Amino acid sequence: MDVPLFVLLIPLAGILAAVYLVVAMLRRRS
Amino acid sequence: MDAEALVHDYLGRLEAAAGSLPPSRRAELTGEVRQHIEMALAEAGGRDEVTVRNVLDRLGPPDEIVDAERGAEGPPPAWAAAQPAAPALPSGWGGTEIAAILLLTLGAVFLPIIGPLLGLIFVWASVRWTKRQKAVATGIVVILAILPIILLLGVRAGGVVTSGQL
Amino acid sequence: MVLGETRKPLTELRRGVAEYCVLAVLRDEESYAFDIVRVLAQAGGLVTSEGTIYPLLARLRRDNLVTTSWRESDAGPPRRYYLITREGLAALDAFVADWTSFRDAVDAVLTGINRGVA
Repeated sequence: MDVPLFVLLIPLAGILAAVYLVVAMLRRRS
Repeated sequence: MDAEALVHDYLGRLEAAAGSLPPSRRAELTGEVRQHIEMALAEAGGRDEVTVRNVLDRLGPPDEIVDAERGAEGPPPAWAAAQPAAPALPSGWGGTEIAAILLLTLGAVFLPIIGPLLGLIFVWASVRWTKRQKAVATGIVVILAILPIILLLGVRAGGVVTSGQL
Repeated sequence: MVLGETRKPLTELRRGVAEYCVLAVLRDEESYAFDIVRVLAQAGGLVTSEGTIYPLLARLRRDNLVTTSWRESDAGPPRRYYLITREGLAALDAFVADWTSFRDAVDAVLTGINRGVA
């Protein structure tokens, strides 16, 4: 079933990217 | 003069030269320079006289530092005035960053495709992530979002790909 | 070569571009004073007196071209991190445009002088 997969992956993409960015912001050390 | 006395003497001269500065700035500057000396010595790995002299040399004469401070009362660089003034952003989380994260998460659920795309625009608009971080985030969205489209096309074309293979 | 005369223009030039070099270091990522100085020194002779970075950073703060925040550091006391603002980015971009044409113009004139008039 392609449609449910599609519905799942887009939010997942956004959430993963958001998690990465949040972690990146929190981990900012020099 | 031994190493510690050199540092002490330097900071003393700095305090003296900074007498004409407002007391808050004088304390701040002395603190910054003191911390700089500590960091430089830590990096050099030694506190012997030669190392200390080198660090203090690179720092420059206290008079020069205070002079730079006083010369600082000029008008802001002309180039800054050429742009419409925007309030300085507090560091950490700002509106742009929050909007980006919300669009990427809630936006991805309630506004598929448009949500994450808008989120990415805000990500790139932000100044608080490095280009590399922005590129990685973009890559994540693009790859995970393009994947189902490719699969979709694959199935439509009668390919062997089924959802179970993911 | 008379050192007194030829050293002056460079000192003035350095002083003029120093702020924008600092902004450029902060363009993509925040940093702290000691590290900024290190980057500028490694670039090649951009800082003669490292201590003058502190007045420079204070001026950038006062003009709202950077903001600061304190962060813990693994080795030692908390450090003040400098972060570029929108105004800082705008100022930097404007400077880069002006600098590029200025630099090219000076180069053109200087090489013209060296080659001599045909």
